[in-house]
Amino acid sequence: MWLIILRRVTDNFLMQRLLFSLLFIFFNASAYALDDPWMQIEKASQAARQLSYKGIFVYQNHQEVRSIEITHLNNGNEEFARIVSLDGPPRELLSRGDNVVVFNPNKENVLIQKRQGQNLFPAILPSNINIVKSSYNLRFGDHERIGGREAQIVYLDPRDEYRYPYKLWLDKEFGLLLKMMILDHHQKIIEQASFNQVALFASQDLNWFKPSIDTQKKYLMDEAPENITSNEKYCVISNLPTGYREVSHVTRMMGRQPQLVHQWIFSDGLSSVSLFVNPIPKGQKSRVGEMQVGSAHIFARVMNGNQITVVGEVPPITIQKISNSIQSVSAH
Amino acid sequence: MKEKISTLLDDELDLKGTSQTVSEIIKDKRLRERFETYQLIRDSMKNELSDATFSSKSILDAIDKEPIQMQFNKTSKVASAMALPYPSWMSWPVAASFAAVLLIAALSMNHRYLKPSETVEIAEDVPADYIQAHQMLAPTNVAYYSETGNR
Repeated sequence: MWLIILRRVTDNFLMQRLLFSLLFIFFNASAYALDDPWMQIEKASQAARQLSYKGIFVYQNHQEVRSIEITHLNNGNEEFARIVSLDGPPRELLSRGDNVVVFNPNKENVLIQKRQGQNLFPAILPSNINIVKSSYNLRFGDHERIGGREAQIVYLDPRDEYRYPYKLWLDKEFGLLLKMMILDHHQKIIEQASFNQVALFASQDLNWFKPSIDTQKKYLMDEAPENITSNEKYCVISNLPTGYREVSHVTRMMGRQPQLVHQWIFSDGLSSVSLFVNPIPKGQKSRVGEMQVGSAHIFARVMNGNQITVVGEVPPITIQKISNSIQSVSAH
Repeated sequence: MKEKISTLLDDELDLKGTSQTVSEIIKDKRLRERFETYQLIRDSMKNELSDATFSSKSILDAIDKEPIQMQFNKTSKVASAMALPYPSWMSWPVAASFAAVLLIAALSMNHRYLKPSETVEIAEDVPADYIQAHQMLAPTNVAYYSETGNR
């Protein structure tokens, strides 16, 4: 039996009720999954957020590989998570609900950054899977063992060329995403994450919810400029790649010579692309061209005295299409 | 105000001061976010996630929550922009249309060679600040688990 119930909480009646309620929900979801294949994806989306689990997974992006430890607790009201990078520079993330803080210790001090976190492995699937349905086809593959667990392989095949295929390994019993792979159109791996070991737990104890850092060091809070949600019609944008929707539009100060930059985020539910538009200050060089950094593609051009920059972990054609979706922009 | 929030979280404000600070937090979205962040940092570092924490959070629960704004790392590695004269080609009068056509054709045939001097290829000047801004606002696994996200 995979489920590890910590013995010290077995006398906690409320906790037991919560656990069995969750298991009941997931077993019920399994029954629905027989009728609608997409219920498997919905179940995986819920499992990552509603279950309490601890495990170690290997994350690979481009040439980089590192081990990550994750502890996730849902106490019925809130989600708590601690994500620790086990390789390379010590770095860890603590989150409570939508509030995310990253601790970056170095030799002299600890830099604390406030961040926005969502869709991190294994919670990469959005709560609303209808967005994904419109852009991907679902098909089932074989069964495989991942981290000692039986998994069902599910393929999310893009309906067009504007997104990459996803290969997912879902726990057969609880639906939790055990492994994911993003592939390019030549089946080359772009990004991969896979649990080596994972276990559910029922304890509500939060003793683990603290950063493992030297408390004698000085702490620096990274007070960076904030983003401001914008409703300004700075650009006319149309003809976005199919399935991509605007999910946010903010303005913020950026660069060494701080200047106001508009940033739009477009997403198809799984992939996200940023579009940046800012007037080019007098005397400053503009950027042009395209390149790849890790799994991100970047495209830059100039339009009406504005710097247009598009960044995203998507195929280059999507980046180009989003860049070309700007029909007009305020002249400078 | 930052000090007041910190003091409030350390339960060192008097009753009057607490009331005033809380009402200021309620009015200002950014202060509410800062309060939540400080609370998370304090609670996790002191490992004090107790009932008291939940009750202080309930102050904020009573407020209509707005999307969390994010903050950015200031340690950008982008090379500083060079101050060059304003591009002369942008002020050329379009006197001879065939010249413009020739220029466009030439640019498209050999973009690198004939590119205006005021532009730089992104391969020569990686827009790390844009990559970082993307990864922070559209968080992906890369932003947390990969070096490119840890700049």
